Amino acid sequence: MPTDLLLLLSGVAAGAFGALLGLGGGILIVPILTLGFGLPLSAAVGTSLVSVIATSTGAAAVNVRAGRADVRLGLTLGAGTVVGALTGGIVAGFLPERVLAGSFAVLLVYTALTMLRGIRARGDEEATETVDPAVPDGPEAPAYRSRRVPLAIGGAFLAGNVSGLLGIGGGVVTVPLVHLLMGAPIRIAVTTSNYMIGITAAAGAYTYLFRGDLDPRQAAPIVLGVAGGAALGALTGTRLRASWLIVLFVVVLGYVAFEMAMRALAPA
Amino acid sequence: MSAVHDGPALGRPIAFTLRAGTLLAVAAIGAGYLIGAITGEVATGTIVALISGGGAGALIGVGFLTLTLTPLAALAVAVAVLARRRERNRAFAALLAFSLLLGSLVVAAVLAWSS
Repeated sequence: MPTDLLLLLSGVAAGAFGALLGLGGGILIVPILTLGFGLPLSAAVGTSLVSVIATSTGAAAVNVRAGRADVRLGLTLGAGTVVGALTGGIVAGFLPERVLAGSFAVLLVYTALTMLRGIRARGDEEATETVDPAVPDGPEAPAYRSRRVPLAIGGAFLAGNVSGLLGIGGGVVTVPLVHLLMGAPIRIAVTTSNYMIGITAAAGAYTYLFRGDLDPRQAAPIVLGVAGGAALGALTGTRLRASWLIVLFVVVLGYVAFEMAMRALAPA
Repeated sequence: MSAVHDGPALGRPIAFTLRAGTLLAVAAIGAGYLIGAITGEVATGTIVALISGGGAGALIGVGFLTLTLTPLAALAVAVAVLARRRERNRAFAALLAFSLLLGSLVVAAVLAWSS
Protein backbone atom coordinates (compact mmCIF):
# COMPACT_ATOMS: atom_id res chain seq x y z
CA MET A 1 0.00 0.00 0.00
CA PRO A 2 1.50 3.39 -0.93
CA THR A 3 2.78 5.50 1.97
CA ASP A 4 0.39 8.37 1.20
CA LEU A 5 -2.64 6.12 1.44
CA LEU A 6 -1.40 4.78 4.78
CA LEU A 7 -0.92 8.35 6.01
CA LEU A 8 -4.42 9.28 4.84
CA LEU A 9 -5.97 6.26 6.60
CA SER A 10 -3.95 6.95 9.76
CA GLY A 11 -5.30 10.49 9.66
CA VAL A 12 -8.89 9.26 9.31
CA ALA A 13 -8.45 6.96 12.34
CA ALA A 14 -6.74 9.64 14.46
CA GLY A 15 -9.33 12.28 13.50
CA ALA A 16 -12.30 10.03 14.27
CA PHE A 17 -10.77 8.88 17.57
CA GLY A 18 -9.81 12.43 18.57
CA ALA A 19 -13.22 13.90 17.75
CA LEU A 20 -15.02 11.04 19.50
CA LEU A 21 -13.20 11.65 22.79
CA GLY A 22 -12.37 15.36 22.59
CA LEU A 23 -8.64 14.67 22.48
CA GLY A 24 -7.55 15.96 19.09
CA GLY A 25 -5.80 12.79 18.00
CA GLY A 26 -2.22 13.90 18.70
CA ILE A 27 -1.87 10.98 21.08
CA LEU A 28 -2.02 8.71 18.00
CA ILE A 29 -0.44 10.91 15.34
CA VAL A 30 2.93 11.52 17.04
CA PRO A 31 3.71 7.79 17.62
CA ILE A 32 2.38 6.87 14.15
CA LEU A 33 4.62 9.43 12.43
CA THR A 34 7.75 8.81 14.53
CA LEU A 35 7.58 5.03 14.96
CA GLY A 36 5.60 4.09 11.82
CA PHE A 37 6.98 6.55 9.27
CA GLY A 38 10.34 7.51 10.80
CA LEU A 39 9.70 11.26 10.98
CA PRO A 40 11.84 13.37 13.35
CA LEU A 41 9.97 14.31 16.54
CA SER A 42 9.85 18.04 15.70
CA ALA A 43 8.19 17.34 12.31
CA ALA A 44 5.80 14.85 13.95
CA VAL A 45 4.78 17.35 16.64
CA GLY A 46 4.31 20.12 14.03
CA THR A 47 2.13 17.84 11.89
CA SER A 48 0.27 16.71 15.00
CA LEU A 49 -0.53 20.29 16.05
CA VAL A 50 -1.93 21.16 12.61
CA SER A 51 -3.88 17.87 12.66
CA VAL A 52 -5.32 18.70 16.10
CA ILE A 53 -6.58 21.98 14.64
CA ALA A 54 -8.15 20.01 11.75
CA THR A 55 -9.83 17.67 14.27
CA SER A 56 -11.05 20.60 16.33
CA THR A 57 -12.41 22.73 13.47
CA GLY A 58 -13.86 19.70 11.64
CA ALA A 59 -15.65 18.33 14.71
CA ALA A 60 -16.57 21.68 16.27
CA ALA A 61 -18.16 22.89 13.01
CA VAL A 62 -20.58 19.95 13.32
CA ASN A 63 -21.05 20.10 17.11
CA VAL A 64 -21.37 23.87 17.53
CA ARG A 65 -23.89 24.08 14.71
CA ALA A 66 -25.94 21.28 16.31
CA GLY A 67 -25.72 22.95 19.74
CA ARG A 68 -23.83 20.07 21.30
CA ALA A 69 -20.87 22.17 22.51
CA ASP A 70 -20.94 24.79 25.24
CA VAL A 71 -19.24 27.59 23.32
CA ARG A 72 -19.35 30.13 26.16
CA LEU A 73 -17.72 27.66 28.51
CA GLY A 74 -15.17 26.78 25.81
CA LEU A 75 -14.28 30.45 25.33
CA THR A 76 -13.92 31.06 29.07
CA LEU A 77 -11.75 28.00 29.65
CA GLY A 78 -9.97 28.43 26.29
CA ALA A 79 -8.46 31.71 27.50
CA GLY A 80 -7.10 29.82 30.54
CA THR A 81 -5.57 27.03 28.45
CA VAL A 82 -3.90 29.45 26.02
CA VAL A 83 -2.34 31.43 28.91
CA GLY A 84 -1.27 28.12 30.47
CA ALA A 85 0.23 26.80 27.23
CA LEU A 86 2.18 29.98 26.59
CA THR A 87 3.57 30.12 30.14
CA GLY A 88 4.44 26.41 30.10
CA GLY A 89 7.94 27.20 28.87
CA ILE A 90 8.58 29.55 31.81
CA VAL A 91 7.39 27.01 34.40
CA ALA A 92 9.51 24.31 32.75
CA GLY A 93 12.61 26.08 34.02
CA PHE A 94 11.55 25.65 37.65
CA LEU A 95 10.08 22.13 37.73
CA PRO A 96 11.94 18.88 37.05
CA GLU A 97 10.12 17.00 34.27
CA ARG A 98 10.26 13.71 36.22
CA VAL A 99 8.38 15.19 39.20
CA LEU A 100 5.79 16.74 36.92
CA ALA A 101 5.30 13.54 34.88
CA GLY A 102 4.99 11.42 38.06
CA SER A 103 2.48 13.79 39.69
CA PHE A 104 0.50 13.94 36.47
CA ALA A 105 0.40 10.12 36.23
CA VAL A 106 -1.07 9.93 39.75
CA LEU A 107 -3.62 12.63 38.90
CA LEU A 108 -4.67 10.77 35.73
CA VAL A 109 -5.16 7.48 37.61
CA TYR A 110 -7.27 9.27 40.23
CA THR A 111 -9.30 10.96 37.45
CA ALA A 112 -9.85 7.63 35.67
CA LEU A 113 -11.09 5.97 38.87
CA THR A 114 -13.38 8.91 39.64
CA MET A 115 -14.89 8.73 36.14
CA LEU A 116 -15.50 5.00 36.49
CA ARG A 117 -17.12 5.48 39.90
CA GLY A 118 -19.31 8.18 38.35
CA ILE A 119 -20.86 5.64 35.97
CA ARG A 120 -21.93 3.45 38.89
CA ALA A 121 -23.08 6.37 41.06
CA ARG A 122 -25.31 7.77 38.36
CA GLY A 123 -26.79 4.39 37.67
CA ASP A 124 -28.14 3.61 34.27
CA GLU A 125 -29.76 6.97 33.62
CA GLU A 126 -26.92 8.47 31.62
CA ALA A 127 -25.13 5.22 30.90
CA THR A 128 -27.94 3.87 28.73
CA GLU A 129 -28.52 7.14 26.91
CA THR A 130 -28.12 6.45 23.18
CA VAL A 131 -29.19 9.71 21.58
CA ASP A 132 -27.48 13.03 22.20
CA PRO A 133 -30.05 15.18 23.97
CA ALA A 134 -28.23 18.45 23.48
CA VAL A 135 -30.33 19.93 20.70
CA PRO A 136 -30.11 23.75 20.72
CA ASP A 137 -33.17 25.19 22.41
CA GLY A 138 -34.83 21.78 22.03
CA PRO A 139 -37.14 20.30 24.62
CA GLU A 140 -34.65 17.57 25.47
CA ALA A 141 -31.68 19.87 25.94
CA PRO A 142 -29.81 19.05 29.18
CA ALA A 143 -30.55 21.52 31.96
CA TYR A 144 -27.09 21.37 33.47
CA ARG A 145 -25.46 24.35 35.03
CA SER A 146 -21.68 24.68 35.13
CA ARG A 147 -20.28 24.60 38.66
CA ARG A 148 -17.04 25.97 40.11
CA VAL A 149 -16.22 28.20 37.11
CA PRO A 150 -13.33 30.13 38.77
CA LEU A 151 -11.75 26.86 39.92
CA ALA A 152 -12.21 25.40 36.44
CA ILE A 153 -10.45 28.42 34.87
CA GLY A 154 -7.51 27.63 37.16
CA GLY A 155 -7.75 23.99 36.04
CA ALA A 156 -7.80 25.10 32.39
CA PHE A 157 -4.63 27.12 33.01
CA LEU A 158 -3.08 23.98 34.51
CA ALA A 159 -4.29 21.93 31.50
CA GLY A 160 -2.61 24.34 29.10
CA ASN A 161 0.52 24.40 31.23
CA VAL A 162 0.76 20.60 31.41
CA SER A 163 0.07 20.44 27.67
CA GLY A 164 2.95 22.83 26.98
CA LEU A 165 5.31 21.18 29.46
CA LEU A 166 4.73 17.52 28.69
CA GLY A 167 3.74 17.74 25.04
CA ILE A 168 0.34 16.10 25.49
CA GLY A 169 -3.02 17.32 24.29
CA GLY A 170 -5.00 19.45 26.71
CA GLY A 171 -8.09 17.29 26.09
CA VAL A 172 -6.84 14.66 28.54
CA VAL A 173 -7.28 17.27 31.27
CA THR A 174 -10.14 19.42 29.95
CA VAL A 175 -12.65 16.59 29.38
CA PRO A 176 -12.48 15.34 33.02
CA LEU A 177 -12.34 18.97 34.19
CA VAL A 178 -15.59 19.91 32.45
CA HIS A 179 -17.28 16.58 33.24
CA LEU A 180 -16.21 15.95 36.85
CA LEU A 181 -15.45 19.38 38.25
CA MET A 182 -18.06 21.44 36.40
CA GLY A 183 -20.77 18.79 36.27
CA ALA A 184 -21.35 18.83 32.50
CA PRO A 185 -22.58 15.64 30.80
CA ILE A 186 -19.74 13.64 29.21
CA ARG A 187 -20.89 14.48 25.67
CA ILE A 188 -20.87 18.22 26.39
CA ALA A 189 -17.42 17.82 27.95
CA VAL A 190 -16.12 16.03 24.85
CA THR A 191 -17.61 18.46 22.32
CA THR A 192 -16.56 21.53 24.32
CA SER A 193 -13.03 20.12 24.59
CA ASN A 194 -13.04 19.55 20.83
CA TYR A 195 -13.80 23.23 20.34
CA MET A 196 -11.12 24.33 22.84
CA ILE A 197 -8.20 22.18 21.68
CA GLY A 198 -8.03 23.93 18.30
CA ILE A 199 -7.43 27.25 20.07
CA THR A 200 -4.69 25.77 22.27
CA ALA A 201 -3.02 23.88 19.40
CA ALA A 202 -3.00 26.98 17.16
CA ALA A 203 -0.85 28.83 19.72
CA GLY A 204 1.86 26.19 19.26
CA ALA A 205 1.34 25.49 15.56
CA TYR A 206 2.40 28.95 14.34
CA THR A 207 5.95 28.42 15.61
CA TYR A 208 6.27 25.12 13.71
CA LEU A 209 4.79 26.59 10.51
CA PHE A 210 7.10 29.59 10.45
CA ARG A 211 10.14 27.52 11.43
CA GLY A 212 9.51 25.04 8.60
CA ASP A 213 9.18 22.03 10.94
CA LEU A 214 6.41 20.59 8.83
CA ASP A 215 6.94 18.45 5.76
CA PRO A 216 4.04 19.06 3.35
CA ARG A 217 4.59 15.67 1.70
CA GLN A 218 3.65 13.83 4.89
CA ALA A 219 1.47 16.50 6.50
CA ALA A 220 -0.92 17.01 3.54
CA PRO A 221 -2.37 13.46 3.35
CA ILE A 222 -2.57 13.09 7.13
CA VAL A 223 -4.33 16.46 7.61
CA LEU A 224 -6.80 15.61 4.81
CA GLY A 225 -7.51 12.27 6.52
CA VAL A 226 -7.88 13.88 9.95
CA ALA A 227 -10.39 16.46 8.65
CA GLY A 228 -12.57 13.68 7.21
CA GLY A 229 -12.16 11.45 10.26
CA ALA A 230 -13.09 14.29 12.61
CA ALA A 231 -16.41 14.89 10.88
CA LEU A 232 -17.04 11.13 11.02
CA GLY A 233 -16.13 11.00 14.73
CA ALA A 234 -18.37 13.96 15.57
CA LEU A 235 -21.34 12.26 13.92
CA THR A 236 -20.56 8.83 15.43
CA GLY A 237 -20.16 10.26 18.93
CA THR A 238 -23.83 11.13 19.16
CA ARG A 239 -24.79 7.48 18.65
CA LEU A 240 -22.40 6.02 21.19
CA ARG A 241 -23.59 5.31 24.73
CA ALA A 242 -22.31 7.80 27.30
CA SER A 243 -20.96 4.95 29.42
CA TRP A 244 -18.90 3.71 26.43
CA LEU A 245 -17.50 7.18 25.91
CA ILE A 246 -16.39 7.23 29.56
CA VAL A 247 -14.89 3.73 29.37
CA LEU A 248 -12.98 4.63 26.17
CA PHE A 249 -11.76 7.81 27.77
CA VAL A 250 -10.64 5.93 30.90
CA VAL A 251 -8.60 3.55 28.70
CA VAL A 252 -6.85 6.57 27.13
CA LEU A 253 -6.23 8.08 30.59
CA GLY A 254 -4.69 4.77 31.69
CA TYR A 255 -2.43 4.72 28.63
CA VAL A 256 -1.27 8.33 29.15
CA ALA A 257 -0.76 7.68 32.90
CA PHE A 258 1.45 4.68 32.02
CA GLU A 259 3.47 6.78 29.57
CA MET A 260 3.92 9.51 32.17
CA ALA A 261 4.93 7.00 34.87
CA MET A 262 7.54 5.54 32.49
CA ARG A 263 8.86 9.03 31.82
CA ALA A 264 9.09 9.70 35.57
CA LEU A 265 10.84 6.39 36.30
CA ALA A 266 13.18 6.37 33.27
CA PRO A 267 16.90 6.48 34.12
CA ALA A 268 18.38 9.96 33.86
CA MET B 1 -23.54 28.67 31.46
CA SER B 2 -24.84 25.65 29.57
CA ALA B 3 -25.08 24.29 26.08
CA VAL B 4 -28.70 25.29 25.72
CA HIS B 5 -27.91 28.95 26.36
CA ASP B 6 -25.54 29.24 23.42
CA GLY B 7 -28.43 29.37 20.98
CA PRO B 8 -28.15 30.12 17.30
CA ALA B 9 -26.98 33.73 17.83
CA LEU B 10 -23.51 32.69 18.95
CA GLY B 11 -23.29 29.12 17.67
CA ARG B 12 -24.23 29.72 14.03
CA PRO B 13 -21.64 32.35 13.08
CA ILE B 14 -18.89 30.41 14.89
CA ALA B 15 -19.93 27.14 13.26
CA PHE B 16 -20.04 28.88 9.85
CA THR B 17 -16.53 30.29 10.35
CA LEU B 18 -15.16 26.91 11.44
CA ARG B 19 -16.85 25.09 8.57
CA ALA B 20 -15.78 27.64 5.94
CA GLY B 21 -12.19 27.66 7.22
CA THR B 22 -11.97 23.87 7.27
CA LEU B 23 -13.48 23.47 3.80
CA LEU B 24 -11.23 26.15 2.25
CA ALA B 25 -8.16 24.62 3.90
CA VAL B 26 -9.04 21.07 2.85
CA ALA B 27 -9.76 22.24 -0.72
CA ALA B 28 -6.40 24.06 -0.97
CA ILE B 29 -4.39 21.22 0.61
CA GLY B 30 -6.21 18.62 -1.50
CA ALA B 31 -5.67 20.55 -4.74
CA GLY B 32 -2.00 21.17 -3.92
CA TYR B 33 -1.46 17.55 -3.01
CA LEU B 34 -3.06 16.32 -6.27
CA ILE B 35 -1.10 18.77 -8.44
CA GLY B 36 2.09 17.78 -6.62
CA ALA B 37 1.35 14.10 -7.21
CA ILE B 38 0.77 14.70 -10.95
CA THR B 39 3.70 17.06 -11.59
CA GLY B 40 6.07 15.32 -9.19
CA GLU B 41 6.85 18.68 -7.59
CA VAL B 42 8.02 18.24 -4.00
CA ALA B 43 7.91 21.40 -1.92
CA THR B 44 9.39 21.86 1.55
CA GLY B 45 10.39 24.71 3.83
CA THR B 46 8.76 27.35 5.97
CA ILE B 47 5.21 28.47 5.34
CA VAL B 48 6.52 31.70 3.77
CA ALA B 49 8.84 29.74 1.44
CA LEU B 50 6.02 27.38 0.47
CA ILE B 51 3.58 30.17 -0.41
CA SER B 52 6.11 32.39 -2.19
CA GLY B 53 7.45 29.38 -4.15
CA GLY B 54 4.18 29.05 -6.07
CA GLY B 55 2.70 25.89 -7.58
CA ALA B 56 1.51 22.93 -5.56
CA GLY B 57 3.54 23.92 -2.50
CA ALA B 58 1.85 27.34 -2.43
CA LEU B 59 -1.60 25.75 -2.42
CA ILE B 60 -0.63 23.39 0.43
CA GLY B 61 0.94 26.32 2.32
CA VAL B 62 -2.19 28.44 1.89
CA GLY B 63 -4.24 25.46 3.14
CA PHE B 64 -2.11 25.03 6.27
CA LEU B 65 -2.21 28.76 6.96
CA THR B 66 -6.00 28.90 6.47
CA LEU B 67 -6.46 25.93 8.79
CA THR B 68 -4.31 27.40 11.58
CA LEU B 69 -5.97 30.83 11.21
CA THR B 70 -9.49 29.34 11.46
CA PRO B 71 -9.58 29.16 15.32
CA LEU B 72 -8.33 32.78 15.38
CA ALA B 73 -11.10 33.85 12.97
CA ALA B 74 -13.71 31.98 15.04
CA LEU B 75 -12.49 33.79 18.16
CA ALA B 76 -12.79 37.16 16.37
CA VAL B 77 -16.38 36.28 15.43
CA ALA B 78 -17.10 35.24 19.04
CA VAL B 79 -15.70 38.54 20.38
CA ALA B 80 -17.88 40.52 17.95
CA VAL B 81 -21.07 38.56 18.73
CA LEU B 82 -20.55 38.62 22.51
CA ALA B 83 -19.69 42.35 22.51
CA ARG B 84 -22.81 43.12 20.48
CA ARG B 85 -24.85 41.12 23.01
CA ARG B 86 -23.15 43.04 25.85
CA GLU B 87 -21.85 39.87 27.49
CA ARG B 88 -18.80 41.72 28.77
CA ASN B 89 -17.12 39.00 30.84
CA ARG B 90 -17.27 36.40 28.10
CA ALA B 91 -16.36 38.91 25.41
CA PHE B 92 -13.31 39.75 27.53
CA ALA B 93 -12.37 36.05 27.87
CA ALA B 94 -12.71 35.57 24.10
CA LEU B 95 -10.74 38.78 23.46
CA LEU B 96 -7.98 37.57 25.80
CA ALA B 97 -7.72 34.24 23.96
CA PHE B 98 -7.81 36.06 20.59
CA SER B 99 -5.08 38.53 21.63
CA LEU B 100 -2.80 35.78 22.95
CA LEU B 101 -3.26 33.70 19.81
CA LEU B 102 -2.64 36.71 17.57
CA GLY B 103 0.40 37.56 19.69
CA SER B 104 1.84 34.06 19.27
CA LEU B 105 1.27 34.32 15.49
CA VAL B 106 3.06 37.70 15.31
CA VAL B 107 5.96 36.49 17.52
CA ALA B 108 6.38 33.33 15.41
CA ALA B 109 6.35 35.40 12.19
CA VAL B 110 8.81 38.00 13.52
CA LEU B 111 11.20 35.30 14.79
CA ALA B 112 11.04 33.58 11.41
CA TRP B 113 11.80 36.81 9.52
CA SER B 114 14.65 37.81 11.81
CA SER B 115 16.43 34.44 11.67
